[in-house]
Amino acid sequence: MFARILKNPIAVIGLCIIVLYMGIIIVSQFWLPFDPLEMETINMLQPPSVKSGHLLGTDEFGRDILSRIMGGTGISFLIAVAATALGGAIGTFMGVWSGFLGGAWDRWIMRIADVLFSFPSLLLAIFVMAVLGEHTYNVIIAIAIGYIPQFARISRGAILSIKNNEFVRASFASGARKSYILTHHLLPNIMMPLIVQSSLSLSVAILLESALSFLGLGVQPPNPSWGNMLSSSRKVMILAPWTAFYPGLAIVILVLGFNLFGDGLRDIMDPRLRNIQ
Amino acid sequence: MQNKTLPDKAAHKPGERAPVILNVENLKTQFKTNQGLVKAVDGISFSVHEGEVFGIVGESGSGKSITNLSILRLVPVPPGRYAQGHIHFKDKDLLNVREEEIRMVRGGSISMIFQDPLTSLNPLLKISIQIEEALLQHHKMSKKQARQTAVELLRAVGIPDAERRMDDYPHQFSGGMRQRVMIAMAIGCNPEILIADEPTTALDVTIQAQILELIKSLSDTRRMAVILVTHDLGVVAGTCNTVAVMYAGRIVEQASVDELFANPLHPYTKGLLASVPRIDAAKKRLYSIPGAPPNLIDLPEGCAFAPRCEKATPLCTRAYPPETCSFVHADALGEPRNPAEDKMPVFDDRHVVRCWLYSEGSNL
Repeated sequence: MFARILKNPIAVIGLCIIVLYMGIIIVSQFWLPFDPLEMETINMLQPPSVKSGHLLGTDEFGRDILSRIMGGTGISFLIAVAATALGGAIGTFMGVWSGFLGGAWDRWIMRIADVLFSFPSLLLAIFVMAVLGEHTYNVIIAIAIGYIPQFARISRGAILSIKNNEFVRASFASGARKSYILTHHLLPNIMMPLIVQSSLSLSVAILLESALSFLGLGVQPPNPSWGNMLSSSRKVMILAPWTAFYPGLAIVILVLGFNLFGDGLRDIMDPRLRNIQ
Repeated sequence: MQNKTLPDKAAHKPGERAPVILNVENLKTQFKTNQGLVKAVDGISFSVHEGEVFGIVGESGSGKSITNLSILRLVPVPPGRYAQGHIHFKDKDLLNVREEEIRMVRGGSISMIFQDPLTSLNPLLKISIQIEEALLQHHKMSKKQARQTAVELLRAVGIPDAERRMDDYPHQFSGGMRQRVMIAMAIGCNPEILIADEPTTALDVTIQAQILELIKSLSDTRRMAVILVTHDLGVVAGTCNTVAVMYAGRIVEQASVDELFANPLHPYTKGLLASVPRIDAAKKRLYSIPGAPPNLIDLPEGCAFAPRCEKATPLCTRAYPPETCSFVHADALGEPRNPAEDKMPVFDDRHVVRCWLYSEGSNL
C-alpha cells in the first residue's frame, strides 16, 4: 500500500505538502519568528523584507504575517481533521446501517441525508454556527454536519454493492451477529472509497474553516487564522497586497496538497486505473 | 446405478429405522414483489433422518434454495415471508424461535455451504480467521484452541500442508480447495445437518467428484445428515439416499434414490431422467421437456406442470393433485427387498407422488 503511494508522483507531491505543513505546526509550537499577537504600530503594513526580519511583511497592526500564518496552521489543521473524522464517523455509521438493514431505516436515514445535502455546505455551516454560537470547537461541528450525508451516501452505496456477496450470507449462515458481520466483513471491504473521500474532505474543510473565519464566525480575532487574516486584510488590500496574498497562498497550497493526495489515492485504489500509465 | 452399495453405518443396525431429526411441515415461503406474490415455496413437507443424504432436485427457480434458506430462516424479511408451516428441529420450531436461538442453530447444529466457493470467502481475511470465526461464534475456546481446531479441520477436509496454508488468503486457493475450506468451516461445530446448496456447480467434474466424496464420507463418519441441493441427477444417483423432486415450489415426487431411478412415477421426473445423457444408450438427440418452468407469480389452480405435460387431462388444470403414497420395497431389478437384510438403515420407505395419474380422484 505505502509502496504504491510512493510510486504515484501525484500522491507523493500531495503527501510532501501535507508533511511540510505538519512540520510547520510542530515548529510553531516551540518557535515563531515573532509573537503573532504582538502589535507594533510603528511597523504596520511593512512590505516583505529580509532586512526587517518580517519575511512576509506585517499587517495593519504591525503583526508579523509569517508568524500569524504559522500560528494559524495548527488550528486550521485541527479543525479540518476533527471535522472530517467526526462527520466521517457519524456519516459512515449511518450509511452502513442504512445500506445493511435496508427497508424503513434506509428510507428515513437517506431522506435526512437528502435534506442535509440540499443545503450548500457553507450555508449549512453558517446556520449551525448561528445556532451554536461562535466558538472554535463549534466550527468542527458545523463542518462535520455537512459531511455526514456525503459519507452516508458513499458508505451506503459501497455496502449495497457487497452485502449480497456470498461470504456475507455464509457468515449469516454460520450464526454471526449483524454487528459482527458489519465490522468484520463489510467495513474492511469498503474502506477504500472512504479513505479517498476523507482526504478530499480535508481540503474542503480547510476552505470551509477559512470561509467561516473570514465571515467572522470561526476563529475569533486576535487569534490568528488564515480566514480572519484574509478578512482583516480586505481594508488594506490595495495598499498592502501581501497581507492578503500570503494567507491565501497558505490555504491554496494546503488544499492543493490534500487534493493531490486524495486524487493519487483514488488512482492507486481504483484497480481499473492501476495499470494505466 | 443398480448395484449401488452404501457404506456401513456403525451408528445404525442394518434395516433399523433412523430417527427423524428435521421435519419440514407444509412450509410456504413467499415474496411480495411489485408484480405480485411470488410463491417460491408452496407447501412442502419432508423429513430428514439422522445420517441421511437427502437430495433436492429441480430446475432453477423451483424453490430448492429458498427451502434451504427457510430452514435456517435466512430468507430476507421483507420482502420474504414465511406464510405458513413448521420446521421441527429437535424440540423447536425453527420458524418460531427467537432470533438469538436461531443464531445458535445456524452454524452450530445446522450449517450450510454455498454454491460458489469463489465468493463465499471474504477476500480480505486470512482463511484461519474465517474458520476460527465460526468456531468462536459457538464455543467458548481460546484463540489458540480455535487455531488448533481449525488446523485439524483443514486436515480433515484434505488440505495438504494445513498448518502453513492457514495464513493464506482465499485468492491463494483454487476453487476446489476453497470449497474444502468452506466445508471445514461448516463442519467446525459438529453440526447435525449440513445443507449443501449446489456445492459442486461451480467446480469442474473431477473436483466435483472429490468434493461429493468428501461430503459423503464426512456424513458417514460424523453421522451428519446432509441436505444436498442440486440440479444434477448424476450427483443425486451417486450421493443421496432419498430424493425429492421439486417443481414450481412443490415436491412432486419423493422416494429413495433406487426407487426413484428405477420406478419414476411423475411425468416431470420421467422427463428429467430421460434428459440425462446415458453412456449405454445410442440416442441421437437428447430428450428435453418441452416448454419452460412457469412464472411463480399467479400460478394456475391446477398442477403447475400440466402445461408441459404430455399426459395432462382437463382435470390437471383444474385442481392440484393430492399426495399419493405407496410403500414400495423394490430395488432396481424389481425384486422385493427385505429391509432387515439390507445393509443400510431405512430412512424413508415411502414413495410419494403428486399427480392425478396415480390418484384415485382422477376419474372425477
